[in-house]
Amino acid sequence: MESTISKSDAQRKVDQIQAFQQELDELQKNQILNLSQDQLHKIQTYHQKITAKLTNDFDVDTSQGTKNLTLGMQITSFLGAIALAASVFFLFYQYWGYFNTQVQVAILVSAPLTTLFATFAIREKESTGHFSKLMALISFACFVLNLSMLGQIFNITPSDNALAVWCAYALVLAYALDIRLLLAVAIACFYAFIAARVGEWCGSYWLSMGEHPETFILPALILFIIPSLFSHHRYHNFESIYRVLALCGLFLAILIMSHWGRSSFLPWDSDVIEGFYQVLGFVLTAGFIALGIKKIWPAVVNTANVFFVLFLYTKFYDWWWDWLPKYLFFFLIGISAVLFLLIFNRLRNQLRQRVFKEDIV
Amino acid sequence: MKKRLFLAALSLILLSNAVVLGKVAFNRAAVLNELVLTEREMQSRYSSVKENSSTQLQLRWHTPMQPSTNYYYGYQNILPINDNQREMLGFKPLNCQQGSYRYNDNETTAWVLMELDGQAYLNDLSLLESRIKEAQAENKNRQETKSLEEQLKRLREYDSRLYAIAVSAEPGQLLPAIKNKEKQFLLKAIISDSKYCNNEIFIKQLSMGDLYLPKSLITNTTGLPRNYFVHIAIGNLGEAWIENITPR
Repeated sequence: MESTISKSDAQRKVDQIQAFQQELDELQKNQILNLSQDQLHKIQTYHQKITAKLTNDFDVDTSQGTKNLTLGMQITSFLGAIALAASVFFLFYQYWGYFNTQVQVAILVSAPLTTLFATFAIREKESTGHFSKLMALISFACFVLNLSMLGQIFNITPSDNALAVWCAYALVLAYALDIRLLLAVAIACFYAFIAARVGEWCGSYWLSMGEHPETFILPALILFIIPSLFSHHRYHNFESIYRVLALCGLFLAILIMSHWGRSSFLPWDSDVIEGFYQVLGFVLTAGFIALGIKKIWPAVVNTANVFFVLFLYTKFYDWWWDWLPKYLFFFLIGISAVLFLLIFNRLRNQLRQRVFKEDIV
Repeated sequence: MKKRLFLAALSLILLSNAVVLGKVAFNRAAVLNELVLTEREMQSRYSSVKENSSTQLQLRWHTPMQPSTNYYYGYQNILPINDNQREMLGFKPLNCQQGSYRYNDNETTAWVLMELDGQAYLNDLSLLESRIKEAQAENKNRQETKSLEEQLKRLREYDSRLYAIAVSAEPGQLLPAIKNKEKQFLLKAIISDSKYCNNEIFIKQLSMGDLYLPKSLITNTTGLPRNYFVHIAIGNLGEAWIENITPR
C-alpha cells in the first residue's frame, strides 16, 4: 500500500523531533521542566521508532551533515544526468551515419525502452532515488533523440505533436519517480506545445511561436491552477514548481509585450498595447503577492516580487536613463531598493504572523 | 500507481514510434512523383555538430530575378503576386505607400510550383546577359561589370536551376500550369506577406528542405562524387526521400 505522506513531510517530522529533543534538553538544563526518567525513556523510544521508520521508508536526513551530503548528491546527480544525456546525443551523432536504416531505427526505438526498464528496476533496488532519477533523465533524452532522429532519417515534416508526446513522457516519469527537474521539463514542453497550437490557429507557422508572446499567457494560467485542482501532497515541492514556472511564463510574456506591442493579436495601436501590458504587469504582480501572502505560498510571493521589481526598473530605465546623470539614476535605483527592503520586511512579518496563527489553530 | 505509470510510459514510447513509422510506411507505399536533381540543386549540407557522421543534402532554390532589383546570389525568396492572389492567400489588401516598410507577421501555408531548368532559369540568364551589355555600353566601372559577369558564370555553372515560379492557396489552381512533370512539381510551403508594402510574398520555407542521404546509397569509398544526380521520390503524404544517387 502506498504511503500517504511525502518525503518532505517525513523530513519535516524528523526535523521536528530533533528540534523538540534539543529544546527539551535546554528546558531541563535551565530547570524549567523536569521529566521523570520513565517519561524521558518513553519519549525517546517513541521518537526513535518514528525516526527509524521514516529513515527506512523515505531515506530522510537525520543530521545537518547528512543534509549537506544529500544536497551534494542532488547537485552531482543533476550535473551527471545532463552530461550523460548530452553524451547519448553526441554518441548517436558520431556513429549513426555508419549504420543502415534498420539498425538506426532499432537503436533509436530500443534506447528509451531499455533505459525505461532500467529506471524502474533501479528504483526497486535503491533507497536514495538518485540513481533512478539519473536514469530517468537519460531515458527522457533517449526518447527525444528517438523521435527527432526518426524525423531526420525519414525526412518527416516537423510537427508540434512531438512536443505533446515529450511533455507526456516527462510528466509520467516525474510523477512516477518524484523528479522535479522532469516536471519542469514537462512544463516547458507544455508551454511550447500550447503556444505553437494557439499560434497556428491564429495563422502563424508553429515554429514561429516565439514571435507571439501572448500565446504563452493561457498555458501559464492553466499551469497556475493545476496544483489547486489536484492535490500534490505526496510529491516533493511539485506545487511550487507549477506555480513558479506559471508565473515566470506569464510575467515574461507580459514584460515582452510591454515593450513589443507590434506582435500582439490585439487590434489596437502598439503604444496602447504596450501601455496596457505595463499596467497589467504591475497589477498582476501586486495581485499575486497578495494572493501568495493570503495562501502562504512563499514561492509565489518571491516570484511576483522579483517581477514587480523588474517591471519597475524597466520603467525607471524608460523614464530616466536618457536625461538623468548616470550617478543619479543608479542612486535612485539604490534608494528604491532600500524602500523595497522595508516593504518586503513588512510582507515577511505578515507572512510569519499568518503561519504562526495557522500553527496555533 | 507506479506500475500504471510505468505502463503509461511504455505505451507512449511504443505508440509514438508506431505512429511515426506507420506514417513513413504509408508515405512510401506509393510514389506520386519522381524528380532528378543535380548537385547544383541538392548540395551536401554542412553540420554544426562536427562529429555528425551522416550526410544530408540541402535543397537549393530561388525565385526569378526582378528587372528592378540588383540583388542576386541564388537565394532570392520573393515572388510577385496580384490582388486576386493576395485575397485568395488570405493576406490583407495593401493600404500603405508602396515600398515603405511595415511590420507584419502574417504567415500561411500555400502551394508553390517549382520548375527545374525551365523558362525562369533562361530568363534570368538573359537578364544578366543584357545587364552586362548595358554596363559595357554605358562604360560603367570595371568592378560592376566584373561582378555581373561573375553572377552570370555562377548561374551558368554552379548555382541551382530550380525556381519557385508560382504560388496558390490550393494545389488544384497550379496543376494546369504543369506542362512537364519531370521538370515541374508542387511543394507545400510557408509563405509570409511582404514587409515592404509591395504586392509580393516571401517564401519562408518549403516542405522539402534537407533530405537525409542513407550511407548505403554512397557507393564511392571517398564519399559523395563531385557531380551527381539525385533521384528523389515524393510519396502519398507529400514527403520526399532520396531513392538513389548516381555520378554524372
